[in-house]
Amino acid sequence: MKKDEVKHISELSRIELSSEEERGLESDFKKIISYIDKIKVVSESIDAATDTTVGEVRNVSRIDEPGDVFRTESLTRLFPKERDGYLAVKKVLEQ
Amino acid sequence: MKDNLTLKEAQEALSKRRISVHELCKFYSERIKEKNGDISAFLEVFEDLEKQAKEAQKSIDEGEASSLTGIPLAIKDNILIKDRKVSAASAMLEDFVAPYDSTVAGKLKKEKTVFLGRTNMDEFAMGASTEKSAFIITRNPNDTSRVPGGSSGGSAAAVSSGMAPAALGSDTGGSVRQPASFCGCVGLKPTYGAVSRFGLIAMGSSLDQIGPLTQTVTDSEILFESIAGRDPFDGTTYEREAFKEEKKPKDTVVGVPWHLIRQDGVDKEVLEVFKKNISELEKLGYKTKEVKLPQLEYTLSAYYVLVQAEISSNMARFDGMRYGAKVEGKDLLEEYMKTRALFGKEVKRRIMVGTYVLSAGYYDTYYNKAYTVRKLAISDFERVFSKDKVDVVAFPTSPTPAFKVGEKNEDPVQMYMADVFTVPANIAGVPAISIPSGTVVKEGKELPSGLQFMAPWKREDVLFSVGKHFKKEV
Repeated sequence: MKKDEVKHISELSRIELSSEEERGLESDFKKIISYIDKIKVVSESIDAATDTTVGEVRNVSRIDEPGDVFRTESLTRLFPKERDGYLAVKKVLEQ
Repeated sequence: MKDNLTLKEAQEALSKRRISVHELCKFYSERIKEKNGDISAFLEVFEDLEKQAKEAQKSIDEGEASSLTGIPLAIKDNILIKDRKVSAASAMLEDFVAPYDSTVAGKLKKEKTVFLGRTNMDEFAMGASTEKSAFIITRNPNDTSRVPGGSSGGSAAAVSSGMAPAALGSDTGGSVRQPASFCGCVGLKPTYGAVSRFGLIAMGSSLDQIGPLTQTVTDSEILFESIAGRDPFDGTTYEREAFKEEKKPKDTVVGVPWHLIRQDGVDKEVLEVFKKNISELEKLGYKTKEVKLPQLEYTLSAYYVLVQAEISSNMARFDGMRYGAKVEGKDLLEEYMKTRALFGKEVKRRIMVGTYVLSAGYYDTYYNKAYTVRKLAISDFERVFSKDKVDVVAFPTSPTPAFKVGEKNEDPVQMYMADVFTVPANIAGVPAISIPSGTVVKEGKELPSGLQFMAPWKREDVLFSVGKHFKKEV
């Protein structure tokens, strides 16, 4: 793993790193990847996207009744930034 | 009152009116005042103990008490209790107040349990030493220069130092059992789906389970029975079945995977304690048998692929928008980047490795391969429990006793190795328990070592039965 690869992964992960952190992660990544590479010797291969045999597979349903787990106010009071009771976020699309 | 009461003793003392809930709570809050300064097991001790105690006492006085009424419990800082702070020991959630009750907290509230406080942990439960908390390092009560294990290190330290009769933790790869082993208490990781995860701050959703940390196996069973069961808010939970036929020791076969246990990295003294434990089981009448679980050689590597992949998805919700900390930036992207920079080093590392193993070019190499190992490991357990007719598989809980604070901070893989014997239970979803089984001496200090049993899916009853016999609680 090279330095620019670490930078690319940090951008994909949406995490800003200091240059010191970047250097540390470069060597950590090498150790971690070489450890998880052990699984490459396993010759079988099952596609996780289509196989469903890990865990119990059964139908789960419940009656769709309104409960009082969440009150609007209990969630809106957690907003780090709000305007007139709405969640305030930075503009997503530029004009 | 003696050093610490077990849940069972506290239940009896309360129901026979030998003690009031108020006195019981006062006893523990004094113990916390006296000991928490050195050990730092608690991040917060709740201020309303008096009020909680009054309500519990009222229930007892009116004859409406149930199993855990009036029992003080310590709760890991990733389990939501409505209107109380819950931070997962992260700067990201430092001031976060739970907007609802986790199912487990709801069940305990119904029983009028007293919540003593929230216990320290590795940030978002990622770690094996409770050194990765954003706030404070928890110390091992047996030797304060050593770690209590993790990530539920605060809960384990609280119980073994007598600051709480019992506690709840969460176990994704060993986070209840390994600290139980390091501190000298009993830790249970229930079958995946036995206990609701609703309101548990998620780490690896296909692996996480909430479990009790207690002083005895009997207490583990009491607490487990109170929190387990089907929950409409967690689709992976199932209806409990009653397994009545209790097997006698002479009809119970303990499987021992020696090929995994006799390897480099397992402390000699830990191995000696384990060998002694196996002969103790034989003396009690248990049959022992060597078993082979070949895929388990790869489960730790597979675990660190799967868990980091799940972490990268679960941690995506911390974006500074809806709740938690927020750092302002010039645009949306900068806000994400700066806010998420608040994660600690271990969390960042895991999110990034998770992102890497899920990225387009590596998905087949890592994620699919790890999933394959998981499936094969499940088949290994199925074969051992059915074809080999083994009732429980025994392991040491951890390959080493508690290590020194700071000892494993340089190399993340060294820290991962602490989970080598606990991870298989999470990978396969089977229940597992760690029981104090002896001590090893390091630098003149006696440190606890744990014996771990894994049982077939949904068979916690077998773990309790073997555990109680082993600890002579029957």
